[in-house]
Amino acid sequence: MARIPVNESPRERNARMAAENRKRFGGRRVFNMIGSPGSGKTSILERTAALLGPALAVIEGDVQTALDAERITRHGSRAVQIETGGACHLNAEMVAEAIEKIDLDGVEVVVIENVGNLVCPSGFDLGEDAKVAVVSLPEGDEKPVKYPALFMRAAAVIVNKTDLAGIVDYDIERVKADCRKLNADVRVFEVSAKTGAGIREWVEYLRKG
Amino acid sequence: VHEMGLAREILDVVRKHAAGRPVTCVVMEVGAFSGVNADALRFCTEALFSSETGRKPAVEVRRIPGRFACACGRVYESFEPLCACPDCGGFEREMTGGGDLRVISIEVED
Repeated sequence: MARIPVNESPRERNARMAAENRKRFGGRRVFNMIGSPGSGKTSILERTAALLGPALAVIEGDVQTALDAERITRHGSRAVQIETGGACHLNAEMVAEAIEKIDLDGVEVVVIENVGNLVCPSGFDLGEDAKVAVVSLPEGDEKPVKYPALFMRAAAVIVNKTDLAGIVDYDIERVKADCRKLNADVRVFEVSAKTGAGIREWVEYLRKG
Repeated sequence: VHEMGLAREILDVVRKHAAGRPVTCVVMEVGAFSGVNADALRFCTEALFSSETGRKPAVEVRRIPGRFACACGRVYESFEPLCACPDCGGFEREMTGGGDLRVISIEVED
């Protein structure tokens, strides 16, 4: 019987592929958007596409259908759909395949919309510069503390559906305070994809940080 | 629900280090904020080893706490995400551990 030290992460293969993706993105600003199904990720990106047009490319991850990519291209941005066929998150290999299918010429900002899920996507580097978490008022204000692994890693948090303030119970100050406890440097954007409120500040962040 | 995918990667890592020798034990560490469920990971790793190699090694998964470096200089560990710095009470901190998982060691037959 022999004991062999290993000290290796099973995520290293994904990390190597993510590093390759980072090279292929060629210095563009790249974001990995993570939120629950129905939190409004695609609606926010439609508003974003309306402002950025051809300067934005979106890599859409869904379990099934190309519906989301179609919603983006309608606004003049480029989009490519990844159908995971059941997988609950994107990995760097899936994104590498998507990069092959999209022309990034003239693109300044790339947003990868992950599969709707607050758990699994947080552990997979896709080659992004920053993770962006999306929450929304009807989901309730405990999401950051219930899913800390994501909110510890998210450089920015979008609180969507602010148009529902006063209709649903939601303590936005609590959410902001919890997000800052989990990541002292986090940027929080309060937006409504429905009315367009707050979208300009978010798009400014995408373009310049 | 991504533990089976990770088990696949673990099997690859273990096989590389075992270099053909039968594996009797796998020791892993899972960080409190890795987003990985230790029990599910152990179950998936055992199941995958059984089906792929016909042998079931002892799989030990140790949960390790998050490690935080506070701006005040204190380094502390906790399993709780909202655990303030025990010295200054603040959250101006950086997570420096407990966010990943690793295969620490394996045991093989000679």
